[in-house]
Amino acid sequence: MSAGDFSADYFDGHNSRRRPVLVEVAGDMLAIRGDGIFFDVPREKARVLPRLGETPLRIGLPGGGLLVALDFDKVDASLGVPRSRTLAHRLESHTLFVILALAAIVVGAWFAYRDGIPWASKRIAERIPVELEAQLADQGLESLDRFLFRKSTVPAWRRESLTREFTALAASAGAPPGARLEFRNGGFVGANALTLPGGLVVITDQLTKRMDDRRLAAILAHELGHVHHRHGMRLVLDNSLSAFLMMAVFGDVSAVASVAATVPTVFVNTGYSRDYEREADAYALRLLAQAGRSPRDFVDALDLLRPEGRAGEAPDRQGPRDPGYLSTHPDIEERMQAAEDMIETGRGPR
Amino acid sequence: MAVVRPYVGTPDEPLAPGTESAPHDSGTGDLAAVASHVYSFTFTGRAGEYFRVWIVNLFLSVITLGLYSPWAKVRKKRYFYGNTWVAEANFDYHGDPVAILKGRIVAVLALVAYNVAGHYLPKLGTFIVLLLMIGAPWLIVRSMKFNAIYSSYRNLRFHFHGGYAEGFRAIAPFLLWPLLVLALPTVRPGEAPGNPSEWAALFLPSLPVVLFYPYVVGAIKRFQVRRSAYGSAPLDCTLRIRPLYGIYFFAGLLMTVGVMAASIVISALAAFPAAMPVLMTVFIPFAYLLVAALVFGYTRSRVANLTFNSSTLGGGTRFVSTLSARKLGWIYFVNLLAIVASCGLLVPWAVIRTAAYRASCLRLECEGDLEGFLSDVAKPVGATGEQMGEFFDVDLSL
Repeated sequence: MSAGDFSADYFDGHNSRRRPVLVEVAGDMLAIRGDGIFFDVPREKARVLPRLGETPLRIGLPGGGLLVALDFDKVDASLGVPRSRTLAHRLESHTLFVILALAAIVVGAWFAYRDGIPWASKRIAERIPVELEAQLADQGLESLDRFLFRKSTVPAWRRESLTREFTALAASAGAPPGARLEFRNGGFVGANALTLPGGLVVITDQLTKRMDDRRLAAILAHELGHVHHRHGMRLVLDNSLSAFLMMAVFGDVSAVASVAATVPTVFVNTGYSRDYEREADAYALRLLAQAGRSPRDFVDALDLLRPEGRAGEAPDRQGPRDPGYLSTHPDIEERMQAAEDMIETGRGPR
Repeated sequence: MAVVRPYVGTPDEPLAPGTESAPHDSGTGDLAAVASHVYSFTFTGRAGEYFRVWIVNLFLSVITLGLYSPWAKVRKKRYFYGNTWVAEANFDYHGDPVAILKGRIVAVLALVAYNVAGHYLPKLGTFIVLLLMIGAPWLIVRSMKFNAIYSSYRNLRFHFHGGYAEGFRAIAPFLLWPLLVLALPTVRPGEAPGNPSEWAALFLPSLPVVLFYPYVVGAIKRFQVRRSAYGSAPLDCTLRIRPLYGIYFFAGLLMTVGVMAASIVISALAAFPAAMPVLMTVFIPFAYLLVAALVFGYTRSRVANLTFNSSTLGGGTRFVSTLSARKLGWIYFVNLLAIVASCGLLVPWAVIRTAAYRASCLRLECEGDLEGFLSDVAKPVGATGEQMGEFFDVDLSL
């Protein structure tokens, strides 16, 4: 038995029987010897399949026979595989390459998340007709009504005055004709305002109890910022695009693992929504100034939106502060500070 | 992590067939007494090793904008097949990446054509839906054929002899869904259904999908096993549909109870505004993953057990699957948490441990010696099957 010999399992392809053999390498020939097996094969006719981890090597023989061997070094030494066919295996065995590939994927995912997806959804949102968006808004409000909201109990006079404020601001903002204001009891979302695609703004009863019309108008200006930048639509697109990318990356995994892919999208999307909140804040300040109101109203409104609405209290006494990456809105203190800065410098970012 | 590889024959150290399994199999004493030989499946893939395969696949797929993905799919399948062992031999996968690439290109082109055509000719949508309904059984049969022909064990290929009509019968109830959508009046989007007929139009079409889901799952599995063969040895499957209704009914119950329990906790916690951020961002995803994992673990294990335990190979060899719903559910739950916490980087670890558990619960039981039995019943099948495969060499299983 010479150094190049290796043992293998032989399957002839006519029969499922497994036959242990010894493969002797003699010059240009492979001599395959076992119990009742005695034949030679030209070395260049034996085709070694590319290696894959530690799975046994498979060597196809002319005539359909198959050798299965575990002795990687000896098979490599006596048979060899064309280098071009082993690219994937060489990359996999190269620890530095594996680390670089990992780093490239992490960095690539970060840039796709930070720049790629928002860029793409902005471009796509600009091409979607406003009428189509308005349809989405109606559907969205319908399901919110079913699961979350209850009928509003805001008195008619208050609704009228707020609707007047809204119409005036919308006119001064040049908002699309579909922009309208709705009132709902917010249920467990409490004091809140939200904008659905197509310019549908909803404010909750709880919010109207928190502040007067002047400050609520500032909140409406913020919501009109969402309308202006088409944030509702862009957020829907961000959600779909990031879900699509995650499915593309992890889609080869089983259906169970793809359940997990839906959870990171929640984290990713709250990140996008925080960026949009900042954009809408800046827009609100500009719109208030443009409409001849005081941008200070917005800072005051934010102050009233703090948990329990207690102004001037030390932030750490206001209960747990949400970690930034988990929350849909930036921290209120942070937003107030940013608004103060913008008012002082007299300009909003972008 | 040390893995003892299953014995791959060396003439110097002969090992009697079957020794790997029967005597060590705990808790199956009475079964082992009936069956003279028991061959356990084992899975020898390792998370660290597979991580390298996975990350290289991912990297090459991304930088080639997906063109490499068929090669990645084949490499992944080869890794899983090659590490699955029974009776001292492993499986192999031979799928041709070019065929898979062709299939994916066809699918993408069809999707683009559908969207473009739908934009200019809205009526075309109906036609395409009908075409898809007619084509669906054919697609299912094609991909089963592709998968079978390109899988092998001991250098003998698997085959799939199922036909269009039987495939059509298996999925027929699902075809009622698009038919009902086309037949019933449409509800305009954004408007709440007002009268009973509009409610019917909204919910009736999905009714057959819900009612017949267990039937379709069972019928497809039975069709797939019953029309498959290992070489010339046919597989058979006597899976009955009724127990599947029990499984999915219980799964629905499990899901309802889980969602209700989570809702109770959520509404109790909602009383404390300070708890809201934790509630929204930790508890709800956590509860969602737990309920999903348990429901998946339950249905997957029960359906797999039922299917395998009613399947035989070549008339004389039985499959025995003993997956535990609780264990599989727990594995899924830990997997999901690990995948979420690692932003997906622990996917390789998760799929490897799942495959290892699933293989460890599967075995073959044979009256005689499997080696002798297999070589009697399983002969290679003439090239017709493979030529068929090459003629339509397009994998549409995606």
